[in-house]
Amino acid sequence: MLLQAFGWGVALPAAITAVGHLLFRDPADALSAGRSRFGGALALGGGFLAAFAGFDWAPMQPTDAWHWLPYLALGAVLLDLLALLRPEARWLPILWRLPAAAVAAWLLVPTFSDLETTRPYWQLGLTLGIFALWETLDVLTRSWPGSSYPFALGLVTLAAPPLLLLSGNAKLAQLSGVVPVIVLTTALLAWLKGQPHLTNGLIGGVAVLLPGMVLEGYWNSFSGIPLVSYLFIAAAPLAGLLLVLPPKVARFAVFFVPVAIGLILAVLATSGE
Amino acid sequence: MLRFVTAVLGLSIAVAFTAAAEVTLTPETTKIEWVGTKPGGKHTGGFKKVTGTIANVTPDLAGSKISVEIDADSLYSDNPKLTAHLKSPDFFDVKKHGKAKFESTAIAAGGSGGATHTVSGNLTLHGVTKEVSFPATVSQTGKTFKLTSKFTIDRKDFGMTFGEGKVDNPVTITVAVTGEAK
Repeated sequence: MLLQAFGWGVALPAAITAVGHLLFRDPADALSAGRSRFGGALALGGGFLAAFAGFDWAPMQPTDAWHWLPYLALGAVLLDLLALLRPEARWLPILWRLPAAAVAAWLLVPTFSDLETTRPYWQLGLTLGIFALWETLDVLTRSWPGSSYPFALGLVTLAAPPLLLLSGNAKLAQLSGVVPVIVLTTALLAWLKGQPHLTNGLIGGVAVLLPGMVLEGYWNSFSGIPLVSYLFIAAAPLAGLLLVLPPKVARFAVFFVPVAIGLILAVLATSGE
Repeated sequence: MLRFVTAVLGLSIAVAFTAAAEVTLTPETTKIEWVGTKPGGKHTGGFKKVTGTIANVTPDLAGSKISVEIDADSLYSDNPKLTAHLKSPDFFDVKKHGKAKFESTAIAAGGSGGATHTVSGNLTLHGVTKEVSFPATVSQTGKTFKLTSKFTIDRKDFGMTFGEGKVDNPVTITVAVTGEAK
């Protein structure tokens, strides 16, 4: 089982990420991401879908809300490729990001009876959350080129697996581990190859998967972990907006404060069980 | 002649009463527990909310029908974290599959391991319905009806495949009913 978890959850998505980024490299003199967006899209969209299929825990034709996760992530990264049509128009992605976030939220909030009355509020909140994350990650990608951004983002997304494990959702925990594998592999390649824009193509998928998986864990949990734990971790990258502030060490601290709060609350809530 | 008519009438009433007798299954009268094993250990638990009926209770149970409904959310175990995990989509997925059911299709005399009967029927668990058959020991003293059974199901048959290798597939189920046939 450990070998299976490593194979589908780490080795396969890391390999697809590496292939994607190596196939679609930006020329050395490129000032912005062009080809590398395709690499990022293949890494996140393909890597997560392959891991989902490999684990074989759910039918490929969705029957539950969380089964939509790989398709929504793939759709998000493919939609973001439209930005290549007019890279200078910063407003353009809003045209597909907001509707895509709404579709994702509509599909991801389960139809459980205990969510019957609150479902529209969850859908609205998740729509705004995914959209805000998507835009934030985009801003950070442009203002923080290089390998340290995907490295920090990878570490932030690494908070989801322990939270989901504590919530009693081992399948979701293992699936959520695929995201940091892809992002940290991207960071490694960005560092090794000196490519500054490798994160551009995959942020849409991260914006959908991080809150999507974390909240699926909340809706499917019977543990005593408070909602605020899930929200802190799902929304942690939003704190990255404060990264415009110097110095660099303080930037990292800001990035990880929400993650630390979320995890500490989760551990405290489950330690007495 | 009058004696004969009275006897026939009395027997008919007795037969009619017996044939119509029913045992109501409630959480107080019915215990369904399980034992799950893993390499080097085991866990025990059960379901707190069980309802149903054993209809048409006759001495040989030939025409009887057992219907049981289990509230999957009432699942408990010897470890609260395990209980939460078992309720999640990794195993019972109780938010989606809130009820488990058993409907008997046949009850035959005789059974393995000294059991008095063999009960066959459809067990619905985790949204999957599968035909199962298990031995049961039944006794009826006056109106008191008792049924005990111990059997094994394979969790994989019901689509609960997570954790293979870390959690054994066979799960032992114990059923104990002590009710009143009314």
